[in-house]
Amino acid sequence: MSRTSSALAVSLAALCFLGASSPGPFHVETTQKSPAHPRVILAHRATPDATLSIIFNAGSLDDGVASGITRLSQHMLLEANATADCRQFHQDVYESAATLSVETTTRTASFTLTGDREHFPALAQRLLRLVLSPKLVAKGLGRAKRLTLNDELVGGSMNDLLRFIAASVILEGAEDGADYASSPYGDPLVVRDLTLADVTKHVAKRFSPANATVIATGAFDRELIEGTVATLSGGKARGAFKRSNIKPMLPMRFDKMMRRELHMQVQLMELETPRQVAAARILAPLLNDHIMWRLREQGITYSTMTFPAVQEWLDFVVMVVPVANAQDVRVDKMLADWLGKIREGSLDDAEYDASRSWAISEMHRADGESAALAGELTVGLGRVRWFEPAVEAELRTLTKAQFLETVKPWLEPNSSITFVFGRRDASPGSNR
Amino acid sequence: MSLRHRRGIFLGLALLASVSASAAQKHAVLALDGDVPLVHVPAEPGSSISSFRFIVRAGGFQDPPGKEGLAHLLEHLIFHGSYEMPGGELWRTMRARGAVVNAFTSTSATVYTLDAPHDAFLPLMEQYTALITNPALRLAQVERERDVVAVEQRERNLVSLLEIMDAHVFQDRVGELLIGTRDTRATITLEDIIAFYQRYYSSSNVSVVVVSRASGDDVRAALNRSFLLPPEPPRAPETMDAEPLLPLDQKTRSWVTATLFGYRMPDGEIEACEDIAALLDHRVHRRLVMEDPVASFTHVLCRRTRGRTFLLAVAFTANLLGSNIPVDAEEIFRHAARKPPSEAELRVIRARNASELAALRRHSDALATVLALRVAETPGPPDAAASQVLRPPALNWERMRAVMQQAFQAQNRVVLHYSPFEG
Repeated sequence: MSRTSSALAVSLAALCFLGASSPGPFHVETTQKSPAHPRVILAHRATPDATLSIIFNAGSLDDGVASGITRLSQHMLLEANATADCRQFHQDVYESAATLSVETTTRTASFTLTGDREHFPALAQRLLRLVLSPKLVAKGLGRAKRLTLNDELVGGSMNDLLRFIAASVILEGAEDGADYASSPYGDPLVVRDLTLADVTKHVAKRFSPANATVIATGAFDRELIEGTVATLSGGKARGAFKRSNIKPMLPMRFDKMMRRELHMQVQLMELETPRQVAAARILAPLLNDHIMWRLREQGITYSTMTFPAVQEWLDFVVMVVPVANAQDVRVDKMLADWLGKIREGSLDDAEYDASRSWAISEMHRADGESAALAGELTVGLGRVRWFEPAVEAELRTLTKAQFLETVKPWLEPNSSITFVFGRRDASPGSNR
Repeated sequence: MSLRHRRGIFLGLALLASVSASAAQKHAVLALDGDVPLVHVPAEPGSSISSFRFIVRAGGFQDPPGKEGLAHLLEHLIFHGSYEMPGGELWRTMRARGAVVNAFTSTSATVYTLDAPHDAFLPLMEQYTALITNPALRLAQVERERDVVAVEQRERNLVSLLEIMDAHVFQDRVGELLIGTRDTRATITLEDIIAFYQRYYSSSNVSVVVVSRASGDDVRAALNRSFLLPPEPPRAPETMDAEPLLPLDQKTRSWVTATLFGYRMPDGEIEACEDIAALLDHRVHRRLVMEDPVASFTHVLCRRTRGRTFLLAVAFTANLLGSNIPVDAEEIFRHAARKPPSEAELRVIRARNASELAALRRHSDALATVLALRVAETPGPPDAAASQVLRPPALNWERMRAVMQQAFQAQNRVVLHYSPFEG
C-alpha cells in the first residue's frame, strides 16, 4: 500500500471511529446477554474521560443481624480479592489520578470509577473482574474492616438526609423503618466480628453478576467493556430494583424541637412518562429559586436546596430550607402558599422560562460529562426513565400550561410531608 | 486522487492533529485596557463549560481591625446588582442560560466565579464583569445582608484547616477571620464598604482568569467592553507580607479527627516546595492510606499566604489510630529529607502529576479556581503563577534535599490536630 493510501486508510479509520463514537446526544443503549449476566447500559460520548459504575441491587437493608456486612463486602471486593492484585489496582488508580468511589445506600451498593481515556480501559477491566468475579481471601480482611470503620466520617450528607426522610415516613406504616434510619456503614462491634465465611456467603448471594447493572459513559472502549462483561455471569437476579409497597398516610407533618430552625417540604411525584420526568426537572429549580430569594430578601436564610429524589421507596421533590431569626416569619406557611400558587396556576412566565432553560442546560451539561452522565443514568435505575431523548424533547416543548397541569396533583396538600424543626410555636396538630 | 479522497485525508489528519495538539494547550497572559492581567487557557476539546474568575487581591486579612467580615460582606453586596441590572435579574439570566455565578472570600482574596456553557459564555461574562466593576453599593441592602451573613455563619459547620492556620499564625484572632462576628459586622458602615471597594477593587489590584473555548483575543475584547473600573496611574500593589507566629502546635478536642502538619519553607523556594509536596503526597498516601489505612484522605500541598510559603500535609480519619497522625507525619517528613526518591517513586510521581494536570485541564471550573488562587497568592505578573500550576515537577533531588534540611526545623513547624482524645 502506498503512503498516500495508508494515510487515507488512517484518516478514514479515524473518521469512522469518531463517527461511530458519537451516536447523538442523550442516546443510551441497554443490553443483557442472558439473565445470568449483568444488565449493561452504555452511553458513548466524545468526552476527555470515561466512567464505569457497577451497581448491585443490594444495600444495608439486606444486612439483617450482620450490620455493616454489605459495606464490608464492598471493601473486601477491593482489598481481599485474589482475582487481581488489589494493591497494584489502588496504586494504578492513584498514579493515573483516577477516582474510585464506593457507595452504600439502604437499597444499593455501587462502585464508580472515572479516569482519563488513556488509563481508563485497563482500570475498568480490572474493576469489572474484581467486583463481578471475586475470589475472596483472608489476607486483606483486617484492612477491609479498618476501611469500613473509617467510613463513618465520609458519609454523604445527602444520603443521610434521604435516610432520615425515609425513616420518618416509613416508620409510620412499616416494620423496617428503623432499618432505614441506621447507618449503612453498620455497627462497628458487629463488623469487627464478621468472618471471611460470612462475607463470602453474603457476596455470593447479593453481589452476583445477575444482580448487577453496569453503566459505562463517556469515551470508553465499547468492545472491551462488552467483551469483559460477557465473561462474567452467575447468580440469580432479585428483580430489577422493585419498589417497596410503601403507602404513607398523607398528608404528614412532623414538628420537632431543634436548636436551629429548619424546614423540609416533601411533595410526592409520579414519574412514569417523559412529560412527568421533564416537569420534575423543571419543578426543583422553580421551587428553589423563588423561595431562596424571598427568604434572602428578608435576611433569614443563606441558601436553600431543592432536588428531585427518585428513590426505590418513594419519588418526591424535597425543599430544604434552613433559616435563622425568623420569629415573625412563618416559613412553613410561606412554603405552603408558594406551592398553592403554582397549584392554582399563578406562575410568572420569566420564572418558568428560566427554570425550563436551566433544566435543558443541565441535561446537556450532564450529557457531555462522563461522571455526571453516569449519575443521571443511575437515577431511578430500571424503573424511571430519567435520562433519555424523549425527556429532553418534552423539556423543549413543554408549555407553562402543560407543566402546571402535570405538577398540580403533586402539589396538593394530600401529597405532602412537612418537617418543621426548631419552631417553638409548632403546630399542635402535628404527627410528632 | 479524487477531490473527495483528498478532502477525506485532509479532514482526517486535521482531526488527528487536533487530538494531539489538545494535550499541549498553552496558557497566555494578556493585558486588558488599564494593564489588568488576563490569564487565558483554551478549554480542552470535549469539555462542556467555560469558566471565568475575577480575582480581587483583598480578603479577610485586609479587614480593618474591629471590622472583621468586611471583605466578605462586600462580596455579598456585589450581588445586589448594579444600576443597570438588579441582582435578581442577574440570577435569572444566568439560570436561563444554564450558567452558575458565585463568589468566595479567602484570607487573601475575593474571587467571583462564573461557569457557563461555551456558547453562552462571552455575553454572560460581560454582564457579570460590568456588575462586579460597577455595583450600586449605595442601593445595596446592607442590614438585610448582615442578617444573611449571620445565618451563613451558623451554617458554616466546618472551617477549612488552612483558614484556621492563617488565623493562628498571622492574626492570633481565631474565629474572627473572614466572616467576623456579629459584633464586628455590626460596626461596618456603608461608608466603610465603599471605601474598601475603592481601595482594593482597582485596576492595579485585580486579575482575571478565563478557561474558555473562545479565543484569548475574543475574551479580552469582551472584557474591555465591560470592565468599568476606572484607569489609574501605575502603583505598587499593597504588600500583604507578614511574619508568621511559629512554631504552631495546637491540639483541640473534636468529634472529627483532622490533622494539618507541615513547615514554613524558605522564601522564594516555591518550585522546590512543589516538588517536595509531590514526593511527600506519594509517601504520605502510601503510608497512611495504602499500607496502614489510618486515614480516609490525605493530601500534601504547597501553599503561599501573606508572602510566606508553607508545605502542608492534610489528613482526615474516623479511625481511632488517627490520633497518632502528627507523629507519623513528622516521621515521614524527616525521613524524606534523608532518602531520595527511588526510580519507581519518580515514575509514580511523574505519572500522577501528569494525570492530575490532565484531569484538571478536563475540568474548566476546577482549573480556573486553582489558577485564580495561585494568581491571588503570587506577587508580580501572573505568568509565573500560571506556570507553577501547569508545569510538571522537576524533582531536582539536590535542591529538594537542601530546602528540606533548611526548612524541617522545630521552629518552622505547624501542627493543627483535632481529635476526640485531645484537649
